[in-house]
Amino acid sequence: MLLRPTIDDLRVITYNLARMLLISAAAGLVPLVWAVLTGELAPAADFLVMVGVFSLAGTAGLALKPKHDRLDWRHGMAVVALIWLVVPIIGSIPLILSGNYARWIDAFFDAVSGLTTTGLTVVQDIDHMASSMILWRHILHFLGGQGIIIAALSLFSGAGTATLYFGEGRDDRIYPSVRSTSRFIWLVAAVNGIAGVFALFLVAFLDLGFGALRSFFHAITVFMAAFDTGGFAPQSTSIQYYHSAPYELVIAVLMIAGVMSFGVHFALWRRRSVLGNLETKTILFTFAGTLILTQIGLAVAGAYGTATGLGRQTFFQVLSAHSGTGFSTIPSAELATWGGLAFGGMAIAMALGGMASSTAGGVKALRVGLTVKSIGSQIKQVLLPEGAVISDRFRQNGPRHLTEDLKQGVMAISLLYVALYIFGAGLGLVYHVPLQNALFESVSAAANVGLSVGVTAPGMPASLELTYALQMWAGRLEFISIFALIGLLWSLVRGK
Amino acid sequence: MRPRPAPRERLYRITTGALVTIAIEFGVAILLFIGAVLIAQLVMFLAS
Repeated sequence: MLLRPTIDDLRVITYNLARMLLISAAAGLVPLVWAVLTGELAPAADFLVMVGVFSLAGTAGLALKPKHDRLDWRHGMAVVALIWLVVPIIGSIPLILSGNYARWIDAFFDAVSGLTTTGLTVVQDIDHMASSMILWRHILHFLGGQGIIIAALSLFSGAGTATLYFGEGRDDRIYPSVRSTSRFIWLVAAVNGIAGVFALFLVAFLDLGFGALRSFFHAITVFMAAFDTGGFAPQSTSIQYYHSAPYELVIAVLMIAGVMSFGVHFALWRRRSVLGNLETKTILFTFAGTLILTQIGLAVAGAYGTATGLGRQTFFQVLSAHSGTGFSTIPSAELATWGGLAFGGMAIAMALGGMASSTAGGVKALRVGLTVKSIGSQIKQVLLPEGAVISDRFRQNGPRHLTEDLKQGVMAISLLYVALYIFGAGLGLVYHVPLQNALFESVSAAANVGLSVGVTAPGMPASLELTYALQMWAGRLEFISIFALIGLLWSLVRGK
Repeated sequence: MRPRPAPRERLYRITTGALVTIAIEFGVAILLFIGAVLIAQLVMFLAS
């Protein structure tokens, strides 16, 4: 029997939602200040409107302070699902006002894509977009990847705040308290940020001949998109714009840092080996497998004349796909011509995704490893004599046991991802998108990758655009908090 | 409960931890790139 939420339940949700809206308001001040400093006064006014709406909504929500601010699982999950909807709605205000989007739904789509660290875009003429507007799109990546919840957990403590952390699909608990864990995540981002921005700045300034301010702007935006496995780029041609191997190498390092779970970061900081972890072994194996598939496909098609060219292009594209970043060094039109095994390799890399508790999307390497391990156990059970004891142990930051509950959980989430991929591809077919392209784009949206073969473009059908936005939302939150929100809404109507 | 390390020791731990992590990330990127080029050579040889 579903229990109807009380007024106090709704107040707890609204109050916690309000705190995160105020954090988003603070984040909105960054592009506002940048716009004022660079003389972009019209965008500054747009950001002022957005910050005002965030602040107003946040302050109004704080006024509804509940008697007991204790988050239970239902509250925490609903807050997470709602914040990932409300922030793109308000965050799209400056994008709508910028005039770079034909329809309001396009601006909302880009805001969802930004926050969910996907990187698919329907912006028109980004090459002439105000720099503050470009900065805001990348800050959405940072907010989503790092993100709003982690910021809230670092600043506020309270009973039950751990539910917010788990609601975002994170399950690494590095320190005993979620607050300390959140602070460690910020520390990792800060260290990688300083090193990454400095390296990108140096390459742009010394190798590409950019001016100091331009080098810094590109460094900071590309860092946010790479480390948070987002995929927005400050130019329409993505990373191809730079035509620079050193720039690509720095981005590759940042994508690798982004795809690693914060548990792995912690282990490396403490100089502990992670090579024995099931997740590390799985991701190395799937990266090599998808890379080989893609290379065979392209070699057979004769797409590249030299092994260095083939190696460089496939390394970057497959890493971008597997990490869920979505950066590209080739045009969408060329990617659309990758058929056969090359298409298969890229699609599989996108669908599998990165490590759990990272900013990457997709099924995740740990679930893939556990699925393979449980299939192996089933086969062993059939082949070995009756009564034989089969060890279901695996290593993941220490020895662990593959329990029946864990198996069921892994299978359920993996199947939901597959269903989500098929659902989006099916809708693409309704709009006469060729099967291969429909599948590629659907997987790219649902796994929060952002690579495109040209289906996602200004003027695309609105229902397809909304479906991709829904896929990005569901894929990023790994379903559970969305089901919890639906359950809460249902209990409002039918609860006792 | 373990005592909290002195500020200087904490700074040392954070700095060395950060440097080790960045070095490993860079090393992994280089190794993967070299691996990709070597596999590409083999694949192109077999496909020719």
